[in-house]
Formats: sequence, C-alpha cells, structure tokens
Amino acid sequence: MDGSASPGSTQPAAAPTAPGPTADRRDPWVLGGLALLGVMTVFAILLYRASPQSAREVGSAALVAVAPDAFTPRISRARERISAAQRARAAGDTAGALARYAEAEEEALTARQHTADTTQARTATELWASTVLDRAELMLGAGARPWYQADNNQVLAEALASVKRVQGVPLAPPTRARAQALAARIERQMRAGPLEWIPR
Amino acid sequence: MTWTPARRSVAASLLFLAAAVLAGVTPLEHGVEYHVFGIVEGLFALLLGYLLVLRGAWAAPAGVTGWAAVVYGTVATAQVLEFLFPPPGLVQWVVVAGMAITAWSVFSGGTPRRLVASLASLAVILALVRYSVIPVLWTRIGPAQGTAFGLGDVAESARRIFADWQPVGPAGELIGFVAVCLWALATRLVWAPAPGPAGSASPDA
Repeated sequence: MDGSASPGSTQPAAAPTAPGPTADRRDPWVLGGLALLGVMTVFAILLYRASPQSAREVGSAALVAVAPDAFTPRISRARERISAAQRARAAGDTAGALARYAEAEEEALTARQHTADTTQARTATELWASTVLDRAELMLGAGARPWYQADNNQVLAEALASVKRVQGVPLAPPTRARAQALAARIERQMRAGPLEWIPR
Repeated sequence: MTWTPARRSVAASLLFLAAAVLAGVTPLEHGVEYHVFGIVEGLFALLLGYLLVLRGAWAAPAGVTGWAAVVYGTVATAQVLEFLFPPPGLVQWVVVAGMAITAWSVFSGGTPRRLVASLASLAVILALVRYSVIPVLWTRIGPAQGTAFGLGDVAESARRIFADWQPVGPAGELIGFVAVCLWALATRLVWAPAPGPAGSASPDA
C-alpha cells in the first residue's frame, strides 16, 4: 500500500507527498495504529473465543482476566454463569443451560482452589454443590421419559454420578438433604417401566 | 494530519478488523451467536482479494502496513461473505457453485469501479436470497414443525435440505449492514492510486 510501490507514486512529482518505507516506520501515527491493531486483534480473538452472551458477562470475564487467581472474581463469574443458565432454562434451551451450569461448576471449583479462609471455602463449596445439583436436576428432566418409553439411561447415570460426587464432600445439611432426595429420584427413575412408581 | 499511504493502510486495517468482528455477531432472542467463516467463504475471499488487488481496487501490498491491510481485508471479506451467503443446503450449493464458475468472467474485466459495482450487485442479490427469499419461502412451504400429525416434521426435514436457516432479527441485519459499510469505507481508504501524473488516489480515476 505504500506509495512507492505504485506506478503513479514512483514519479518524482509525487515523492514529497509520499514518504518512503523508512519514514513510514518512524511515523508515530503508523506505529500507534499498528499497536492498536495488534491489541484490537487480540481483543477480537478473545471475544470470539469467550462468546459472551451479554454485557454483564463481558464484565465478569474481564474481571477474571485481570485477576485470574482471585477468589471473588471467580465466585462472581460462577454466579453470573448460573444466572445465564437459569435464563437459558427459562427459555427452554436445555442444552445451553447444561453448558452454562458446567461453566459455573468449573468457575466455582477454581474459586474453591483459591480460598483464603474456611468461610470462603464453604461459600465456594456450597455454590459448586448447588450448581451440580441444579445441573443434575435438569439432566433428570431431560433424560426421564414416560413409563411406556425407555429413559435415556446414559443421561440419568451421568446425573446420578454428579450427585454422588456432591455427596462425597462436606456440605451444609440442607444441601446434603437436597442431594440425597435428588439421588433417590434419579435412582427411582432409572428403574424399568412402571417400577419407577413403587417407593423403596 | 496528512493521509499518507501507510496511514491509510493502517486505518483501513482497523476498519477491516471492525467489519470482520461485527459481521460475525448475530444477536438472538436469548443471547448472541458468534460466526466464524468456513472454508467456502475463506476460499472465495482469497479469490476476491486477489481480484481486488489485480484490478487495482486495493493497492498492491508493499511493506508491513500494505500487507496488513490486504490480510485484514481478506479476513473481513470472508466474514462479510459468511453474513451474506445463504445458509448450508441446496440453495447455498447452487449459489456458490454458480458464483465460482462465473467469478472470473464477471469480476476480472473492466476497471476497479466496475469490479466494485459488480461486488455491490452481488451483495444485493445474496442479501435478497438470504434475508428475503429464504425467510418468505420458509414460512410458506408446508406445515410448521410439530404440527399436522407429523407432517410438519417431514416438511421441516425437506426445508432443512434446501437451507439450514435460522431466523435473524432486525438487529442482526443492522449489525451486518454496519459491517458492510465499514468494509466499503476501508476499501475506499486503500483504493489504489491510478497511474497518472500526480498519483491520484481517487476512486473516480
């Protein structure tokens, strides 16, 4: 694009208005523009990679990017992902909601690894557990069929495994009771045919 | 501030980048979709980039800034094509195959102005197919999915063979329009100087 490369600008008359490549390299506008181009390119790649669904999500992702090891941004990000999952669930987008819950789980787990005291550890654990249980509940709804149709046992087994994982960590009594009830519901649903109606 | 060729190239690269980013963003009712061009759009953008440089609509690349403008321009072209091409299906195969076969004869002759005019006409036709023809036919060919005792599902399968279309709202079309405007503005900035006594950079040359 430099003027020196084109037939017209190589003529002597155009030389004063078209500086050579060396002058271009020293031009602060060009250098600044190239730096801005590099920054914006990285930003565009990160934007497409993260695929944020709302301005709020962009904010929480930026916070995590600024302080990737901090507890608070991770917890905020996890809560924001839970909100996104709930929105997707309300809109009937089960696959999207499951994906958002999985992201929230990951963020809560990371937050749990960066806790400074037991209060933070408990908060992160509870958030992680409730997210896993929400996801398992959604999977139960997605995998369960009427008694005359075969259930999607793979989804139900995965949901049960998630609940068992939650039951393996120390939790507050309400969360523990919720996990136990959900496990029982999933196990009952996995029974063959009308046997799912019979209580244990 | 004087607009030297290098400054024009850098400004054009920034505009091409903005066009590429915007062309792939589609706001939906619940969230946002981010589209990245595929192999079809990428190869077509390479062909168009080559023709634009060959015909002088984009100045021949020289130096880092010149090459940056061409690279970003090609990516932006691919993203704009992603926005304009019909969705995958029979319609896309027919349209793209027809364009690829006739591309050389349609775009290679004439002046840069003629090439850009041809591209503008092509953009109008592609937009017509994707954002007018397909949506209108979609709602009128057969019953809707999940209705008419299963016939709707059969009709939906047939529709998906023709075009795997997803509805795009007015906001999505507006963002795409802004992306196309940015692409045109960037192309205006890197318009090749016509071979003349003063090296004029006017598109009217």
